[in-house]
Amino acid sequence: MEGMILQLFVSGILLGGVYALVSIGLTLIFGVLDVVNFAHGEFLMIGMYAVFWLCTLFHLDPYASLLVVTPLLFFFGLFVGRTVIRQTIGASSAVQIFATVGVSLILMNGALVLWKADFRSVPTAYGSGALMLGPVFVGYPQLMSFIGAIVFSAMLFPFLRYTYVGKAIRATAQDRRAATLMGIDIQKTYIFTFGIGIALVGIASALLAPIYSIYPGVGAQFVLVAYVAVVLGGLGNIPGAILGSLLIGITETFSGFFISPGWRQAIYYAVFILVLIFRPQGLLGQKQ
Amino acid sequence: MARKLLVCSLLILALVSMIYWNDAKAQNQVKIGTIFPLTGPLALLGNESFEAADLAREMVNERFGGVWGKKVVFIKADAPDPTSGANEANRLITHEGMKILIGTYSSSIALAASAVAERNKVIYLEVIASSDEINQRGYKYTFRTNESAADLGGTAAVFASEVVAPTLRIDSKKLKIVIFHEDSAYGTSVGKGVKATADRLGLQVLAYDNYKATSPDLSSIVLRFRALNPDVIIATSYINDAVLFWKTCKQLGLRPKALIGTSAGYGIPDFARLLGPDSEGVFTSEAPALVNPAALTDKAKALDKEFRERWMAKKGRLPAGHAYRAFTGTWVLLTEVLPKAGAMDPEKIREAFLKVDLPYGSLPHGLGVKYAPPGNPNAGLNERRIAGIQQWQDGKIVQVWPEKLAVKRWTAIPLPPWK
Repeated sequence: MEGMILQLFVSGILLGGVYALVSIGLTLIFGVLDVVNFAHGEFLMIGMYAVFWLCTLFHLDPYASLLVVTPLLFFFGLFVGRTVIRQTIGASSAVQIFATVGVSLILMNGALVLWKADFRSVPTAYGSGALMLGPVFVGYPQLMSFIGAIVFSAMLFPFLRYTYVGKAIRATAQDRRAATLMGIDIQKTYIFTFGIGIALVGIASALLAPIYSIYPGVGAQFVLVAYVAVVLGGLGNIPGAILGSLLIGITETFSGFFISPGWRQAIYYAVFILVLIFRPQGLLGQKQ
Repeated sequence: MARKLLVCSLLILALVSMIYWNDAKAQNQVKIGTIFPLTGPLALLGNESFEAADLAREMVNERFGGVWGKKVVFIKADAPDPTSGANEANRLITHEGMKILIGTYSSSIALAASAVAERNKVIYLEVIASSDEINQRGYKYTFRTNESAADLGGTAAVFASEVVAPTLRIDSKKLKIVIFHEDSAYGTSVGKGVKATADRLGLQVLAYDNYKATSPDLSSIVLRFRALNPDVIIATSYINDAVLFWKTCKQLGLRPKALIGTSAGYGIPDFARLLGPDSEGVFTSEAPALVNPAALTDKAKALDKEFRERWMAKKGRLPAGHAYRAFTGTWVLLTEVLPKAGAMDPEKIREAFLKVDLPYGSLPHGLGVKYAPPGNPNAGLNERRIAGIQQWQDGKIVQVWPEKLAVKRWTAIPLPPWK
């Protein structure tokens, strides 16, 4: 039994890592721009297709393609930020929702038209392989995505703390007006942050492509959980998003085993509601 | 002001003449509405299903010049989910004047669209979806030619009991199975069918679980089953989750003696394409496809041959179960029902449906046709339907059961250990 509990815990953590990859970008965007990016999942989908085409056309290993897809999505994020998102900042939530849902629909259906609905996959030699650590099976690609989540969020912290751009982003998130008074170009900061958020999604897509089938609707699978993780952890709080994701991963795995697979989502949503009742700012959020 | 008046009158003239022009053209065509999920998460099979139905239409136009001497034209609608299914059905009926709707591949969408059709006393022909509920609402205008969820589920359980158990030299009442299914109308229907038949046959059901098809992770299910150690797993999944499940089984060390899928994800070419050699030996309960020609009438043999050739030319691969279902359902409508009806009148078409009487082996995949009359608990459903068992062998799907439809014998009971 202990072996099974350990396995469930490890599987839960690994799953949490997958969710964390998608949530970090989302919480950054929300924390700084105050924009709910409904198209977040679709950027993930675009990133995964980029990995697929790089693999198919140039035989680039998906983990290596990370180095290409991340800057690619960064620039794509800058582009969308400049053209669409910038107009929605400070506007009513209806405008934000329509704009980002619109982007989501364009991306999803654009992908459908260009690449059809067939499921693609990125084959890797270690695709379905697993490591055995004691009594516990650890899937290679899940382990890689977990390590990736840790490494890249660890890299994010010094960036936000010590670089000028990072400090500008944090200042904008804390207080928009004060940041403007300090001479920070808010518009540029917004667009840049959006670009970074999407670049993070690019990292996620390279790490997730070996695990999941790639098709135009794949983004939707992750984005809903990402929202829950983001709010659970505290909007705009990156460690919070990671903590929230891990919590959801563990809850999901344990409830699937002990209660029933059909109740998994219901249970973690229940946990989510409980946390919000007792701590509405999220686990690590600042009290408003 | 005078100019505005002139422009307006010209516009009105143009509109009015367009209406008359459309009407005139319409006299020479037989228009039928189609509702399939052409976009959205079901787009892959939605489009293929439409293409199979459309192929039947093309072939009927070529061979027989259409129906009642007029070419058949499809007015196609896209419904990725039940809400748009209902809306599109409404639009086709009220704005386009359709009297027949063909659809939809997905049970949830079918239930929504057929409800709208029934309210408007318009014929709804389902060609692929399998939920039993479709024909259990006492509707008079809903007909279905393909096998139902209870058949798909039941056949999987029967195969486990009559073939898998004896081959493993286990008494069928001692055979340990787990049943799990995705939680939409489709999965729930089939899951119920498996459970009901499994209970009836006395199999030992260790778990009966459901899950969300879009789950990004199935490790808790796999671990749960690993702890139960079943002989056979009977699964109902769409393609994404089917692949994820089997991959996760490999990662976490779960290898049952047999995996029997039930149509949907387990029956389409992408299953083998995405899993490669790991797909070997997996069974699926499915509408028969590429069956033994000895089971067919001569007419059906010829039709099957042409269907396979044209599908290969169009898609680069042979047709699978869902393509056979959509093709044959539409074929029966256009070549048997409508000629008997004589006119685009739902009442006459209804009666024509009930008059069709073709023995087993008349359709290219071995089915016969006789729609259950009103008063029957499954009114409108084809009574001569079959669900069979296919197996993935060498990346290809092969009909292995029942024997009269089988093309090869089954292999891999029990499944060898993971490579």
